[in-house]
Amino acid sequence: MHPTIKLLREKFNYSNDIVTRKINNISYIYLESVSSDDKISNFLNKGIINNLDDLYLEMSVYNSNIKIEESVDKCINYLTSGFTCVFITNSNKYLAIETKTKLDRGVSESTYEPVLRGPKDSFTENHSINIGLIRKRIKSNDLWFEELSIGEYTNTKVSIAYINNKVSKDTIKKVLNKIKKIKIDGIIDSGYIKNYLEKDIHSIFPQILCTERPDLTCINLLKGKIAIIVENSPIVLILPVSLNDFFITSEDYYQNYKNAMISRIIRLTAFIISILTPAIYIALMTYNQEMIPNELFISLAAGRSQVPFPTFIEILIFIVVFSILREADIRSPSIAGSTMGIVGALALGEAAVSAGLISPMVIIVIAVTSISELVFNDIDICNSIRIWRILFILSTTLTGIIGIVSCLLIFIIKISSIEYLDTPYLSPFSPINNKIKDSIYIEPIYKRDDFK
Amino acid sequence: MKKIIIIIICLMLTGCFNYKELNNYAIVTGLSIDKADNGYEVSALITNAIKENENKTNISVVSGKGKSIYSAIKDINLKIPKELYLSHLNVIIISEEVAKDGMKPILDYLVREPESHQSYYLIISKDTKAKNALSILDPIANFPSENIYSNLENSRDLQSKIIYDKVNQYIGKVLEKGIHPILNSLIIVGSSEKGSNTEEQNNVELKNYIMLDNLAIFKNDKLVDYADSDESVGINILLDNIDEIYIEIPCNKSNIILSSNSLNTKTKVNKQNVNINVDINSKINELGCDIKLNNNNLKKIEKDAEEKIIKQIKKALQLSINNKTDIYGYGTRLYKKDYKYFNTIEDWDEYFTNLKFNINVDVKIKDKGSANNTIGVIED
Repeated sequence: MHPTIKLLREKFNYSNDIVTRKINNISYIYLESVSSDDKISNFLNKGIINNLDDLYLEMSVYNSNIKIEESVDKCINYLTSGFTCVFITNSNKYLAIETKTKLDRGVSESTYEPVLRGPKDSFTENHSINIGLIRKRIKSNDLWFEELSIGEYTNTKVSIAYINNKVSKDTIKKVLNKIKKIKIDGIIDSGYIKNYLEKDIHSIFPQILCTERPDLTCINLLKGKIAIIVENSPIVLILPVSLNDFFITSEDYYQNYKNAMISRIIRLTAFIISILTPAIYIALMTYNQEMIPNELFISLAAGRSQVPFPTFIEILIFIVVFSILREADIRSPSIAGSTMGIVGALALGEAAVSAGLISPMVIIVIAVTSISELVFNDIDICNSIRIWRILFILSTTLTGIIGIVSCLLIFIIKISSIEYLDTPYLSPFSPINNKIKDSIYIEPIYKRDDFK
Repeated sequence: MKKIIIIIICLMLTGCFNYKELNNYAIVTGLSIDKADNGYEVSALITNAIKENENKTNISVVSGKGKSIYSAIKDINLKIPKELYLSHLNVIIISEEVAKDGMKPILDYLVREPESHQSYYLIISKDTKAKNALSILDPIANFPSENIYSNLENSRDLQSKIIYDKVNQYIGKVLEKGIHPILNSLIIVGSSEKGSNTEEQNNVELKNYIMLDNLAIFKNDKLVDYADSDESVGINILLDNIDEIYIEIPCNKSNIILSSNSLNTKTKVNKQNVNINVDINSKINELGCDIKLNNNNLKKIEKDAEEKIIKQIKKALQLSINNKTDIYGYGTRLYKKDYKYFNTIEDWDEYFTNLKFNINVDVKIKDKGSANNTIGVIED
């Protein structure tokens, strides 16, 4: 047996997925768990047996991905990535031949971000497939990838994709530096990188767009943004983005732009409704009753007549209950879904009203806010909306409409002061720049400069 | 960080300065004001905010007495477990007696109270206690005050005998020089006792109900007279309040009915005379007699209609001259035109009675409807 193989086995602590074989003066080693036996016997064994002359071994193996290496450290890397290393007695060099097995689920339909009309594929856990899905859409040598390896134990590949002429070198450098600085045992998902990149910004609102759609990634690359693809993660990070980018779906560009404009307006309305509705309800019910129209006032008062709690407690209880319901719905297996529906709709809706615990209007208010929140498929936006909603509720409970106004001022100051990679967070609106053509107002694609 | 803490403290220290839950309020949708021994009797129509119970009315009328409106309302507060909430008032019914004595003492409290939104109607109850009018149930409306309120709101386009001044317009007219206010009045038809009984009011035929009556004429804040039906129409034409009126023209024991599509009144006030021009575009609604609608006849109908309207306007003017109260605001118009001259006039209401009125009415028939002549009459 070759001495390096002995060393490698020792290094792996004689792990039972290590397989070695010796044919004459040629010996090879691979990890059974990540390698394909078929490929090894087809491409490697046949070649070795047909041509035992070490000089021509490289030529006789029917494989396209062959590397000649010397270092033992790199050999470990190759082995864990599914390569087979071939050693020849009395030689320092070895061959690393790609014999990866397929450990992926394949390209499947997008589950987080479904569209009505548009490409259906989504990113997978396989790094090269993910890069391929982008590459196949942008067939240009200007699409550049910078590859890094992060994580002391996991050695996860992190690729930074951008289109050469569209992004400034400075921005790329900043992002690369930030990623290079990461010292961590392991990267399991792109969320790890996202946390590191966002750590300087003290805001609940997300600074990085997460997507599993290759088409949306390519749209953003063409707009001059950077995409970060992390091995083993189906979620690609896109930066730098502003709040406006969270209102954009890829479908907006596939439809008639006038219709897309209406959808954008609806999304913005949903955002505002979702943050403000409970606060406005509390202000009207407890401070500024004179603003409610006469007919509505009496039916509102009738709905509340048997409720023992103050309005804001009522609202908070229901918000918490709904959040629990949502969390349970996400975590539980789909078999339990129907039970959840019955419990949510019947027990919490009907029964709570008829038992006099909650007034029917509160259920409507919470239902409207929660449904509006679900317009966004980005979980970070949903969560930040939820937190601001509660802040609004608290300040309204203290001072009524003045509370809404003061909290709104703080909210606007807060989000307009965020700036990430030289992009202000409210960027197309404040300061106004030419991207305003892709905000609430959408200019058709054939008129726009950044698509030409 | 310091700034944030200061902002938070500022917010906290303001406290819940006027935090009120709806459960603590007794919602008052109607008030009535009557004369009592030495002061006022105020009744409040309270709409109980409980869940709908089909067999029970969820309204109640509570009265309180006091020397002033405020003390009377406080007296009501002693009788109910909740705080009276006046922001959602629909209507205030004022009895004739109180209105004759002057409305200023009543209005002052209601205007001063910051909670009330001042878009309710004032209405005079004629010949009956205001409290009775407050408690008449109407099976069509949910509760009595809503009944009066929506009756006023919905009659807006359909009736030419009603005025739509809310409380703030009324107060404006009381305060302004050279104009006096008008209000609607109501009467109770049938028995007021039976009218407040749920079972009685569930009969198919409505026997006891509130009806809007003619206009009440004020001099400053005091009630002086009522207009009759013709005068009410005349007043509305002169104020240019309405677009839709109907004109009845007698014709061989039957009537021709014209209704107007648009009505424009242009008034020009000079020092000695007032020029009033009324333009009416109308259509024929009903042709009760055998008459051919040729040009001659149409002209005759137009002329008859003009005479009828002139008569109504003259009656209305005579009413206000008799009572020496300028409800049309001619004084205000003159003041805006020539305030120096207006200020030399000592008593405008006296001066008003000596003005000369030139009335010019122009009725045009623009539409004959779907039929040409009366049924059975053949055209030449």
